Amino acid sequence: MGIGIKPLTNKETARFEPIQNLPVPEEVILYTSQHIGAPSEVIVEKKDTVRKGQLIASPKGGCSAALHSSIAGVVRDISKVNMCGGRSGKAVTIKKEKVQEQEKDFMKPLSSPDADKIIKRIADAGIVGMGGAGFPTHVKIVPPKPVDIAFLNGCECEPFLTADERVMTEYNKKVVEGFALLKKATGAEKGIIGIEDDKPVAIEKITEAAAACDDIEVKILEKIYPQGYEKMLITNTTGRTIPPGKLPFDVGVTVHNASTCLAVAEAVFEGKPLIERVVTVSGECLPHPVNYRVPLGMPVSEVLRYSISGISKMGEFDVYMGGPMMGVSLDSLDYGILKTTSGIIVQRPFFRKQAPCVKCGRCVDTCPMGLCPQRLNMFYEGRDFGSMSEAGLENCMECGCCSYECPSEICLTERFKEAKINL
Amino acid sequence: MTLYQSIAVLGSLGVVSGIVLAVSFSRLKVEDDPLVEEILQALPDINCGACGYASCHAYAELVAEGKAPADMCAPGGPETEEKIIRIKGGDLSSEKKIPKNAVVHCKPQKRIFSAGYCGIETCSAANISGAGLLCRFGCLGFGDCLAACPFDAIKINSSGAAEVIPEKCTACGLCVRSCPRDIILMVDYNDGRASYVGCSNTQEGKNTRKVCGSGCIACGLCVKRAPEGTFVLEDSLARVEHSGGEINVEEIKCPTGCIYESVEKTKN
Repeated sequence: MGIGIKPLTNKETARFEPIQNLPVPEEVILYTSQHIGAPSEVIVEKKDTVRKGQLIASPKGGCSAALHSSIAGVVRDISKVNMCGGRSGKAVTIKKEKVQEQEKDFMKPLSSPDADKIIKRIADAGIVGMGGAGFPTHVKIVPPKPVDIAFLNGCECEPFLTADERVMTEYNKKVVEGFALLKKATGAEKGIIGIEDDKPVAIEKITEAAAACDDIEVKILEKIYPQGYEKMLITNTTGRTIPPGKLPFDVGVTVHNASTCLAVAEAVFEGKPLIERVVTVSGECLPHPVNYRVPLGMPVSEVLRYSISGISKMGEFDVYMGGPMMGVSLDSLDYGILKTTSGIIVQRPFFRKQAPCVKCGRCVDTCPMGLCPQRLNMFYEGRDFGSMSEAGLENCMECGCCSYECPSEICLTERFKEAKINL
Repeated sequence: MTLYQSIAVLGSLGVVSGIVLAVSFSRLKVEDDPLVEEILQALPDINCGACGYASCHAYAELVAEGKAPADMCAPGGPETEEKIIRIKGGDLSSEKKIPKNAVVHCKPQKRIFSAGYCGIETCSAANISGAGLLCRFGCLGFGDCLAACPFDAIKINSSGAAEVIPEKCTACGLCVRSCPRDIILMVDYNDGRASYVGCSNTQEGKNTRKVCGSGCIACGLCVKRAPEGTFVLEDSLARVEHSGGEINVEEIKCPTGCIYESVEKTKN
């Protein structure tokens, strides 16, 4: 029995929507910093003509990722632009060319690669963790400590999102192949695929594909948010607990997202770099949720144009990039899709009344990290960030369960996010 | 009877503890350095922490022991330093110190928003999402600096951005640390005047124009027109290298008008 919340999933229609391709957008905005680590270094110049899949920014330093053009076109601009989440960063804007050449050969497909070749190919393809954090995969699979379990995270516990579920259903073979490659590169003996029990079709398809591999086991997990958070996942399936401030490799585990595994399989066996991803477009305001295969950098407004008309006006809707629980609220629709964007959620504006705390303790019961949000909030109100840190603030993963449960509608998670910055 | 008993018991208790206190006071007396007390008198005694020590008393103790220099007190400025050196009986250095003040490097005519914000109303929280303010380097205007300033030297001006009142600013540096966007910087005030660029946007000119009508577009006119070495252009943003009387803001004719002069009226 996990600890967390069980919000309405709202996935009933979207999970049966096949992945659709979108027309090539007029323009793509590719940010050089869409992963954890140093921003990549732009290697093209203004007015250069680029092919689809051409390298436009190379990794800078050890923890960084390559970036490829997602369409064929002309580089219109390389400058610092606004990014979502109040940041500003360098981006390459590519304008579409009329003739979109077919992608023939990105890189040479590898037939039976060894670990080094896989790692090199993943680095060349610019693959990062596509679940949300964006940790460069080629760094993740070379952990400083030996790892014995590789984990495929197919939980997708956030409400509304069905991108990973569709990927696992439609590309079950490729996902398992990609996972096997990652497992091989990491040197893990055992592979576990964890899927929540509300996705019967995906479970069936993945079990079918995984039957070929002896050392890969499919585990069905309870549907609870935040089951997909790696610390929760590892504790619930293997019984190992990650100490505060440590990473999964410290207990001998690596965790990969389902979409990442698909990208790895495509990079190794088809030579395709990471230039597109599956994005769920859903939300209360959309009567017909869909799953799109979107070229990276496609503006959000462009993606939404195919789902709903007249959404250009902000204020009538709240648009989130990522899931509704942990996603970023957008202040403009001109931002490009990132490697880590798993969904675009359009909700009705919602205001929290923020009444005083009634000490009901629901947040304490629900916190998956076993913290005491009510006590943390008490310190926050006195702006005592030192005591918050002593009460375990660093362990907070900002999942939003406490805010969700709070009957006084206090913005607990936002407060903790702020406090973390002020520590 | 009970009345007398209690008076007797409490009275004798008082006498006994009085004797104990008197004895322990004379036996365990700690000689306080009179120098510390004197230095503390010279300090502003506001415990702002700008010197890097826990309190004014802690700093005074270290100065008395000779473990800390006399010029660390930012709010007190040169006068306090002079007083401390007099108390300690040292020589006054002939070198004249340039007074500093904090300046908010964002002075927009109008701040442009692309979306509303209904979250926590502090700058550090608003900075996580950007609060809908188009400029990623602009003043969010929720007043974290205002709350940090012990001297009431910061106000929110009509455009919604924070502004330092130079007469009240003591250059303690608390606002500089409180700003999540790092747009409050210390500026030299030569003869009570300082020129500064009222913008912190390091985006290229055309992108800056999109987000603010009065931002630095890195045209470089100030570098050309002002005396050499006063302005530098770095990372698509002009910056004042040497402030003082030699810069004439009127003469530069900044196309977006983002070069300002801050004049400090006499303190009192």
